[in-house]
Amino acid sequence: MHRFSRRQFMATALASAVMTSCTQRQKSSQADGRSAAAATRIVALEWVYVEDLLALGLQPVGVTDIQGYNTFVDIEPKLAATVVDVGTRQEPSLEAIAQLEPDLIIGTQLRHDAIYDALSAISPTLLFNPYPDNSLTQLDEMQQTFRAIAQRVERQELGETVLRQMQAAFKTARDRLQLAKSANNGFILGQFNDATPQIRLFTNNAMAVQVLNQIGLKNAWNGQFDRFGFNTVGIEVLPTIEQANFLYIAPDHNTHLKQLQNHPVWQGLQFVQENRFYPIGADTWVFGGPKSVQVLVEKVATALIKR
Amino acid sequence: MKSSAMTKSISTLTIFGLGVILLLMLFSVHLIQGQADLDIATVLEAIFTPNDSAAHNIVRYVRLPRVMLGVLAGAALGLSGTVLQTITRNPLASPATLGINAGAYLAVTLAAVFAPVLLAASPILIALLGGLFAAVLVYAIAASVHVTPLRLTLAGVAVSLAFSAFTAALQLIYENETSDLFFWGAGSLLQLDWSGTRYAAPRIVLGAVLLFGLAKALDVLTLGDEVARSLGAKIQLIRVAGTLLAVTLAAIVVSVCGPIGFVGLVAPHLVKLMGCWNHRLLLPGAALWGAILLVGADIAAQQVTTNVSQLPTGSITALVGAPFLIWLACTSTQLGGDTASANTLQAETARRLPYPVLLVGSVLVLVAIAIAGLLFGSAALSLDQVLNGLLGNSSSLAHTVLLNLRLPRLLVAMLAGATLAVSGLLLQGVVRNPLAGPEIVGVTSGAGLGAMLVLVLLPTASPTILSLAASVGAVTAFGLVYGLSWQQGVLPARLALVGIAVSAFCAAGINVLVVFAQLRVAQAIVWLSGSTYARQWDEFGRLIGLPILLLPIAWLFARRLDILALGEDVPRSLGMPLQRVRAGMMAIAVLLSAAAVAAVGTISFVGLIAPHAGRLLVGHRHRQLVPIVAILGAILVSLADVIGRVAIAPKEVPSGLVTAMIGAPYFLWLIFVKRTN
Repeated sequence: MHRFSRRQFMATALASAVMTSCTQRQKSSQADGRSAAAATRIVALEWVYVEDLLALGLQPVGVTDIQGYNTFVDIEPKLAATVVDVGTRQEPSLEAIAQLEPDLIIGTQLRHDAIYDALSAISPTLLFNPYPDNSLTQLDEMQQTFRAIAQRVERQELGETVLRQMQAAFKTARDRLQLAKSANNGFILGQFNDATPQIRLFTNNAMAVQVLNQIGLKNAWNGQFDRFGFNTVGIEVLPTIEQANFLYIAPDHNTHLKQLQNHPVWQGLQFVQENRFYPIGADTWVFGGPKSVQVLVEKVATALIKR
Repeated sequence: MKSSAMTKSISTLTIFGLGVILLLMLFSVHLIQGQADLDIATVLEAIFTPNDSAAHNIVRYVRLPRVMLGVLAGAALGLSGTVLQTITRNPLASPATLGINAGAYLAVTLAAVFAPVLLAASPILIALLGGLFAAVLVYAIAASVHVTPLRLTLAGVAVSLAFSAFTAALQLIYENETSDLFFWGAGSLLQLDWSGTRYAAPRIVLGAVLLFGLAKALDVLTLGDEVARSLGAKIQLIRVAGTLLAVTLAAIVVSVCGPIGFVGLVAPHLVKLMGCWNHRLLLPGAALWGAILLVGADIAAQQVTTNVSQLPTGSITALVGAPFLIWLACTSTQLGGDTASANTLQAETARRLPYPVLLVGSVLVLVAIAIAGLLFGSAALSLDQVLNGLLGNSSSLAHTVLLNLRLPRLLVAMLAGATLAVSGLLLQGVVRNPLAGPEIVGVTSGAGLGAMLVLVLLPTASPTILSLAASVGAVTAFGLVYGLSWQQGVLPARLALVGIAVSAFCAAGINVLVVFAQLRVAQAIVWLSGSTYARQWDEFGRLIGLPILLLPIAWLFARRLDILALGEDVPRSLGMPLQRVRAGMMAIAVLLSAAAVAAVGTISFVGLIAPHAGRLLVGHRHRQLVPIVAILGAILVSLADVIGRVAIAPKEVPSGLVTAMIGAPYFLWLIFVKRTN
């Protein structure tokens, strides 16, 4: 009997949940009015907010899935060893959070809307939505949220500095690329993961793509609009975009990528034959904050210029 | 004579002529569809006059391997199902219904975690061992009284449930080691190149050839043991050889594309329906139609591909296969006589303790678990803090953790456990089968489907609407099961079988909706995966309404179940309105489990094993059983809640997995003990 397997459900569900947002209920993205003082003991339930806090010079007291954070996110400053792991991003341990007696919890609407009541019974809770509707781009939302957090921890000035550094990094990368006169035949940004032999290609509304636009690069992938900013595709679509430079993120030793590299279709691709495919590291987090964005543009610029 | 020969040749023509044409058509459709836009001319050129262009390479190295694998795997499943049906003399046998798929998949997952070298060396051998183990287990369970198709199927479903729970738990705990199996676990034909197909092809062909050699012997088997023996057939030898080959074929499929259900069940029946029973034609026919089914299902699955995920082919085969199973259950006259004898596994209870002692004892165990549940968790609290937190000082951390986090979860777990357990008891009593449970008669997955539908259509729905939808789903699914199995009254055997089919259908429906829902799924995950995670006081408030009303009613009417257990005739002779009593009891059972599923999702095995354990302790009087079974259910789920919270803290193991991991071995042990007695 093909019975409903929980794993099967979770597989599909988590795959979509990782990058998706769901909430129509607008939970207040503004500061919960309960506590006016600057927050210092903060629990961050999603990695982008961990990163935001670190960029603002604050170590959170609790973070979800620290091992995962260290695998996928590579920014300075690093997470201190004293920070407590509070479970998975999808089902953080409410007890572990409560025990830290935080004065602020930050999460995403996508994952944490369902437990908002439980969280806000522990401490004031902010939930953000990194996948806004058309009114706002993902890149703008990222900066807006970063500013909101900076304000909440009363480090606005430092926050502005970080954002200026990000803009400066854009300019530096753009200048480097222009100077190197690297052929600009557009790029596609792909992400591999271990769970499926398919590739995620990012669409124009994805933050990562908007960031690369900032350094003068153009996305060659014209996929169907997707709120979360990527399409999942098979190798079949690659020939249609073979003129582009293929930038990709893959976990180390990804079996699907290895298999792909022996594939006749892959070997026939223009960007493969002309050696224009560029790994930009397993730890380039394209769903991150200003620091991750900075890492992204630097890695991309370096990768494109090297060849 | 002449006319029968003519019908025969006509049916042969239909099976093979029509079959080949259909397969060729589907094969072409499959090749044409895909993410790259290719027309039929290009596809043909790629096959017959290939060059090194991208389009040709796509056809030759992306699409052909996939469709070829579909043909091979479908054929293997069709063959395997045919042989299993003949050998077990059971129209419902198939690699999936006998637990072979689940066993093979568990073995592959185990090997991936603990012996990756072995797995790399021979995935088929590993899958084969798991599949054989499951098949033997299922057969042994079913043989505890005497083997009927229904028993075999119920045992197969129960073993599949148990094995899948273990697989899920392994994948949860060893996420990195099993991540490669993640995608494939749902049954998918997606291939990156020829490697999988090339691996499977010679092995499947060899298996098929050997089976064709057995065709004549299999024909003899259908005549019955007596006749076969008198014809000099070595029955046991044929059985063993046939089973081995059938399981091997299924294992090959599992090791290349994961567990795919229903093809092995449906394909042989299609061929038999077209009038062919002779194995020399039945075997190739089932192979051909198995291929047609799987390739067709894969075409449909590719159509439902969305941005985020692809629908597993296995879901489509279930959507098609489940209604077929219902039809089979409704038309088949020889499901096996669970009608004649009351066989709620007559436990010869060596009752050592008087009832009140048992009752008090189990309450004490429950209290002990409750205390442990309050004491332990990822936040470490001293006894002092616990007492302080309980007695007042309402602003303290201990107070929050105990009264707002641990206590409501525990209470929800207990209540849901008690509710599911009593629901299972009532269902088993009515169906008069120890393997009936909310998860088997369609209630659980019906509730899940109801909730998913609402999540997709009304993403802003409140939790109240969600649980309402779950209840409506449960009641509808069960109503469907009940209605479909009604033929001048409801035969328990048929009810259980239709229940299995409807469950499978709802489960596949959930998978389809998950793909369409994409994003809103996040909020459903916690709920659907059978979890007591983050349950709060308002969930407890929503849950308590129905059980507090229905549990006492169940107790009041429990004596009727004692009479129902005596079979069809005794209750009638006592003047009991049999169908009305059955319907009433089932209504209570369904409402109870709908309430529980709405609160905690699909927690399995509670409704299955708590009643067993209860019977072992206090015997068969339902008045006594209801309270004990309720307490045992509460114990099981609250224990699962505590273990799930503490075991790998701060991560959580869903309670549903823990109950399955505690419940499954207990369940199997129970049945074996029964057998040896």
